[in-house]
Amino acid sequence: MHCRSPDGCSALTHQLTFRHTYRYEEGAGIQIPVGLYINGYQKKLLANIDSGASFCILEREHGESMGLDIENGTGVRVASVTGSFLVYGHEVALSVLGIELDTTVYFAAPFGFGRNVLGREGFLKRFRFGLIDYDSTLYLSDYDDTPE
Amino acid sequence: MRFRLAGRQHNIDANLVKERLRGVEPKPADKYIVEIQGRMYPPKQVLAHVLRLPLTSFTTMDANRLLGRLGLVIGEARKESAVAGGSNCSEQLFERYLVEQGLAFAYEAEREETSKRPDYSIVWKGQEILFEVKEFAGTPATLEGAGVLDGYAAIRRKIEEARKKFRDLKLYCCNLVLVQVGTGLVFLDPEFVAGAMFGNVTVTTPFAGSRSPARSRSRTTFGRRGKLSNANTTISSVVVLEKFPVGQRNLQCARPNTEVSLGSGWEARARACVEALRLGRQMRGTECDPSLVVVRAVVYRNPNARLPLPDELFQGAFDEQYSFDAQGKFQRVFAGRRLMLLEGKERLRELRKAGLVNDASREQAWLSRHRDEYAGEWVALDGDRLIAHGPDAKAVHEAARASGVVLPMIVRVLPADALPFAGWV
Repeated sequence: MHCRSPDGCSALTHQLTFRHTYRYEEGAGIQIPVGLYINGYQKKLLANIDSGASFCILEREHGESMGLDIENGTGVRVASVTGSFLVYGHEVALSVLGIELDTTVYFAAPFGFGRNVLGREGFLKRFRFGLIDYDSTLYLSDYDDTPE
Repeated sequence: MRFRLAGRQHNIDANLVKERLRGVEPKPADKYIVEIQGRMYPPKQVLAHVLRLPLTSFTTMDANRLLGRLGLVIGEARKESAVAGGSNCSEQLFERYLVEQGLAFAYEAEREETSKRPDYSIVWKGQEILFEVKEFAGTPATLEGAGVLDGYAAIRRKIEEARKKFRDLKLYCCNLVLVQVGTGLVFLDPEFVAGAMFGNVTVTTPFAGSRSPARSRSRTTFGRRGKLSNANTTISSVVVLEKFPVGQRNLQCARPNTEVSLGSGWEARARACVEALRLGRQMRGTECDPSLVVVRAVVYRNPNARLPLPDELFQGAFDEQYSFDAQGKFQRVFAGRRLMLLEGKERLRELRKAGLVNDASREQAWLSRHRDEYAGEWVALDGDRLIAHGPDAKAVHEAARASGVVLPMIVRVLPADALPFAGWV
């Protein structure tokens, strides 16, 4: 549908549909519960969605305590605002807001990393993602899901 | 391309052929083959299936000519499978598995020790390993009435046949490969195969001097009549080869939760069918394509084998291996990488449907209340109940696991005065 924006330019409005919605807690960023399954073990953790992160990066301790040999994964050096650090990629199964997926997540090489982040590769690129931070609400669908 | 065949006018192109052949299993080829999306079909099967004509209504030459005009490559079957020799479905399936695993093989090689020729042999790190392939091909015409079925008997007969075949080959690692190609009443599930090998599956319950059994200490063991329980040291393993419906299983995980909103009754079922068909169409060509199957092996190791099957074999992405552990417990000792991920998705889906994954409100409320108390520590929570805490993540994980909680939340507690986060890259 075409409409006219206040500056007089012709603009398009867009409509997206989502299958899942979630209200996150104020104060800890856009933080959501994530089910993680590795080597026959499962647990739940809290992770922040971060469109600025290239990868999904989890604390080393999560992988190690579920039997992963962290350094056996694909090593990548990633940059942050304060420097760079090593991460190692492993394939895991995740459940995120009603969607199960197998994907590569990276585990930070340093101990005591303190954050779990769902970034673009392996997560955001596989979904349609909507956010209204004012309402603490996020919307999610598989990239090719077409609810009727 | 328009043409006339068997008295009817037809109009097909190569894409339509590929589309209609999706998910169709190739039949054994006598002389010619045509490659369609990496699979080798007899040309007559292709044309008959695509045009929905009986095989007898046209010749092989018709099929070759018409498929060739569509740009499909026709080849000679024997040239394509120079190393292969298997003629029945199970042998072709085993060859397909070996090729996919990158294993070179010989078919029915002659041996000095015996006039009998096991079906296949491979050489692994200098060791020759033999395989005898047996199939269950029967398809009952009807299933009527009632009766008792011995689920072990058919498998035991095959083990006995293999034992006779391998009798003079005790210096080799000998393995039996079982394939079900018919729809007969044969169950190649772990309990039946292991039961046929090691003895009828039995539940033992100690009574400990009282009249009521101690059910909590019941355990499953193998009873009598096992074909490989003690005496047979020649057969190293029984390998069940099967077509694993990876597309269907992936689709189950990808299917959105429509059960609740669809309601109940026939209308709901109809809508669920429509949704399933829509998803099936949408998923074509992806890992969730319902027609996607992979050939995989499930290995049951014989602990008494003189020459065990090398560990590195049959470790494909969807393969499984079962054996006895050090405590004598029979269990799965290997699962392929892709199988583990698929099982992970299925398990998480179950937990999510039980409401255990997406709701973290009680855990987050607990963290808000106790942040100062446990700042810097790892905590394991079951809802708003603290299971374990401490500075060592591994110890907290182990305590959570030992507690028996199905899906604990395990987090490091950040102090309330932690600085605002500046973001990542």
